[in-house]
Amino acid sequence: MVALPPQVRDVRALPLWGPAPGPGAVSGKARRRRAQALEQYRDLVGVLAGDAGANGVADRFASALYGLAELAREDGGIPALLRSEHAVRVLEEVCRAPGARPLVAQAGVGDLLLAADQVERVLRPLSAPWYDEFGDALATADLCHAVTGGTALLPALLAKRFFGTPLLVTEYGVRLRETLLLHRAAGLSAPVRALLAAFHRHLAGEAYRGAALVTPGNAHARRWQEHCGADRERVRTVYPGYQGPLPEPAAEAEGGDPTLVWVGRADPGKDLIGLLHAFGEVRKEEPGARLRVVRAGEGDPAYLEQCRSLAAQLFPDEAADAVTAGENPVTFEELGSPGAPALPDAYAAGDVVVLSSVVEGFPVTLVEAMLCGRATVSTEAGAVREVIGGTGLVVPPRNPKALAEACVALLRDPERRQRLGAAARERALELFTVERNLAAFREIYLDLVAHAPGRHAPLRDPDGTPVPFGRPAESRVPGRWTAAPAWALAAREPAYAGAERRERA
Amino acid sequence: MSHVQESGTGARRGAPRKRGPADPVRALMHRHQRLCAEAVDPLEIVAGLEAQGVTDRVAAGFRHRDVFTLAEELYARVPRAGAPPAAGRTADRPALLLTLAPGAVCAAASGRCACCRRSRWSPWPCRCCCSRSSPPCAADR
Repeated sequence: MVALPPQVRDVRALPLWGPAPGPGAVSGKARRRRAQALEQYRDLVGVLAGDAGANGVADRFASALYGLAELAREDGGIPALLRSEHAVRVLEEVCRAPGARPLVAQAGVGDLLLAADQVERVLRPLSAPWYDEFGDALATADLCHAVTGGTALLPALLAKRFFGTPLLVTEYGVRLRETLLLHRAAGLSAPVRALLAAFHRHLAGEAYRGAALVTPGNAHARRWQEHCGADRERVRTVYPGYQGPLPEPAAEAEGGDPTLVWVGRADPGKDLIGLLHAFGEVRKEEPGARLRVVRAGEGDPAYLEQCRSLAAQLFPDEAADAVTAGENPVTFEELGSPGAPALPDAYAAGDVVVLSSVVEGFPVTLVEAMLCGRATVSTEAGAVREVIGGTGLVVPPRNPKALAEACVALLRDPERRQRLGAAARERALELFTVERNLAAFREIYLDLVAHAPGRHAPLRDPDGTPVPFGRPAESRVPGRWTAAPAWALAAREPAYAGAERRERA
Repeated sequence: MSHVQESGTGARRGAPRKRGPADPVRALMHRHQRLCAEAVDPLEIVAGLEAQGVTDRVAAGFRHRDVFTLAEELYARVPRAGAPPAAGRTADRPALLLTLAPGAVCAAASGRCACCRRSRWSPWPCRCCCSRSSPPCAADR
């Protein structure tokens, strides 16, 4: 269990796994409701099985989703219903109907069962006990902040639908993209993947369109969100902040061999092999150059071993003279080892920090290097270009020669290195600190809450009982419902101020 | 220093240096054949391409605005792995229609293949990029 920070008052968990809640009482009314729920479910899966590009699909998805939510609000037995044979039959009929995509039409019984099960799981938040208008759940929220995409969007969408609560969506990595990759990696069959991909795509689109503000963590996430329906005007990038003690600017090492440093997890996406080839080019220009590979965190051990053997093949051990023991110009270290006890030491040990990734999200190591005031050479991947701005060199990925040229240029020019390092540190302090991130969200919260309609929950006594007529009916009328009188417009000051003035006169 | 640029000074738009084939996307289709054939949504191809380092800059080399439009083209052009073979099923029906109900043919002539504008009711498979038999060509996407 994680200890709660003091500002968190309450945490509730809603398991999306395990058996569904029981079917509940079956009265005549409940039976009618369940028939309606099955119809809404038919609409919903009809959208999932149909052509994604057709007109009005997003509206049909939303109306089916909220229709199902309204029924689930009254009846706790909906999850059990969506798991039942009735639901699977509905799904089968929809998939076999003439309008369904050919990909879905070939779903077997196993596929249908799996898809129905998965859809029921992601829809389970609809039936959670949090609709009570005067309770302490969704209705009392002033703002819903979904800090990830996917199923976490559902409660926020419900609060928006039923209580008009504004919705803020923050995504540092695009959940939809991760879900798609996960489904592929899990080896789900094509029909199941097609149905689930359609569901998640429509859900994300509905949330992006309905959100008061969408805050992606970088331009990559922003592109995905805009592609999936986020309105460009309501998207605002908020960079993640570097948390922890800010490192001091690392002093320039004097007199040693020119050294390149790479810090990160050893994954194939980091293209360490390309870095080793680039280092080979660097050695042709600068024979005394060294490369330190510092691992931070677990990576792919097999890949690391491959890199080690490649380094041993490319660069033989070297010694200064005939009597000293040789040493390889490429060293592999782990963060926390004596050579690099902490991150600032690792960065301080080199003249230039290199990032050779082919695939990259938000490059945290680059931000750390910037905070340490190091000049950097990085490949253009993910959010690298927007993070570095103009304060470092950027080369195309998979281009060892360009990487080597950039490294040599910086290694030979200490003055430029220092200038770029100082500029990088200033930029990182300005943009990527946690204070900056908190300030941005505080401002967004205040702005959204200020524009939201009044809360629906009644005023309460100190002992918690609702006060009848505590809120006048006028407070719910949008805008000014009576024109302001002329005297109020003439003197924009409180009445007692005028009285005081009259007394003085 | 010709490859190196300080970031922010403007990107050199990547036209391929070598003179390539007239259809550069075909090579990409071949390279990512499995990814494209198994995909159930263009976004799946986008995710897969990005995981292999294809960025908007690379997509610009294929004369596309971004990876999304590139993936849409790949999704449209690569035949789906699990899609039922549609040619046999519809081979005789158009011929029958042609014989029996010329009026129906005229009425249906407005529906055309999205790629090559060939009539949907033509008995021959399209020779356009989608290379499908005609009727499922429009219905498949």
